[in-house]
Amino acid sequence: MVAMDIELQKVSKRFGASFALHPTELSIPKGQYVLIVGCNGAGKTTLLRLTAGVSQPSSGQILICEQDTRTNAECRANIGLLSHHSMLYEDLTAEENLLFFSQLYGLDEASLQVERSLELMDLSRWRHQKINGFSRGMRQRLAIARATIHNPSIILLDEPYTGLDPVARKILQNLLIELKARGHTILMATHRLEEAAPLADRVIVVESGSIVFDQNWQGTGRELVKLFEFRKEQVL
Amino acid sequence: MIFLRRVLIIFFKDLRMEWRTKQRVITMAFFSLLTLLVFNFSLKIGGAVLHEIGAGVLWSTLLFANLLGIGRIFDAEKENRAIDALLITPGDRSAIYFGKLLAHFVSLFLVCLLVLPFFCIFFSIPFEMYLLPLFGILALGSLCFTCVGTLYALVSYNLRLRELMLPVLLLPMLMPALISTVEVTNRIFSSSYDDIFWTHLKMLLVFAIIFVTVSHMLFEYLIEE
Repeated sequence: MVAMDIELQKVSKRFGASFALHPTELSIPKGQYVLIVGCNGAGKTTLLRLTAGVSQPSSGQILICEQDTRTNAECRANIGLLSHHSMLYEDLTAEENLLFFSQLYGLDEASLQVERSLELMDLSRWRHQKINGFSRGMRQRLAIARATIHNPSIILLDEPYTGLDPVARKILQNLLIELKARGHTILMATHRLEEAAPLADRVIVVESGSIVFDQNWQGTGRELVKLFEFRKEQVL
Repeated sequence: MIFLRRVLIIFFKDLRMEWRTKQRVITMAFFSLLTLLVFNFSLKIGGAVLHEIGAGVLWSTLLFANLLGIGRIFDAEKENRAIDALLITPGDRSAIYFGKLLAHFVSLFLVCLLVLPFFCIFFSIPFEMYLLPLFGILALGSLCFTCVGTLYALVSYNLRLRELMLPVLLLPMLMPALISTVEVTNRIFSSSYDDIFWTHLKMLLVFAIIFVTVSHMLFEYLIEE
């Protein structure tokens, strides 16, 4: 039996009377790179937030590395979350931000880890600068460092390419290739299909809070764009 | 130990940010001084015996200053949604509550210490006579205000009219603490450590213990949404 890194069992999310996510079953095995595609408001971010444990489901159960995050809070250490919000503190420097989170994760040699991450994201020069002076791209690179500093086995990415310049996009792309090669499980929601699709093992399409397409993927970005546009026309 | 470590990490992060910006402490201290000044002038003109009503004025001032600071407790977490990154770190989430509580407690206590000399000058109270008991009640009163305030700051975190709703929700909850702190402070000023003094002191301790316990239990559920 294949070990599942992420399991959603009849998970739903309701805001008042309306469903942001209808009861959903989803299993993602270890090491799989899954791309979540859908229009704005389809439920991609809700799906990622629920999986991360930031938001709690209205019904159902979420297992991370075969453990319920509600009963075993320590298993949250397996998750790294990157969204279009940087999730960083404006009045701390780049180094202090990373150090704060690495300490919360209880990392050994946190300072060394921070140094490595800053170097990897090409931010060493700005390590002592408060991030309120950072550009959107620099923030996003620092956010990538924050999300991956504790070497999580599962990485959840919500529109990670937002605001990145070509150099930063290349850095992110290389990092994703490396993470995939190292067997990390990656779940990414993005509209930048041409960049993300070549790496994907599986594509999930979400529409109006339901998974309407879920298949293994070996195609190119262009093929995925065509598929998605075809589906969008069908819905409209 | 891991829990305590997480609490301290969050506490020192908040202290560092406050030290850098000084937004909360300066605002609360300046507001307190202005309020004391307003009370001093208006009550003096009204013919009140200032040193007799001093304790009430002091704690009302600190209560309003606390309200000002409480509304800002989770601002740094709200900006850029840093709270999400905190929520996915491992361990008991109530460490966030205790870290925030400690940081706000230190800020409020610092404001108390800054305000105290001015209060004593304005209200003709020789504070050097009661220095130790005064520090004690200021610390306990600040703790009571902070433990409830931190919880309500979280309750109002996502409210659209947060600035308006927070005082409305918080003030009724703080009334028992306000009454007891005023009673205890009055008795410190008159050096009468009678049964009422001890009863109110115990009430403050129980108040703090109850709210810290309730907040610890509720925090995880409140912060999830």
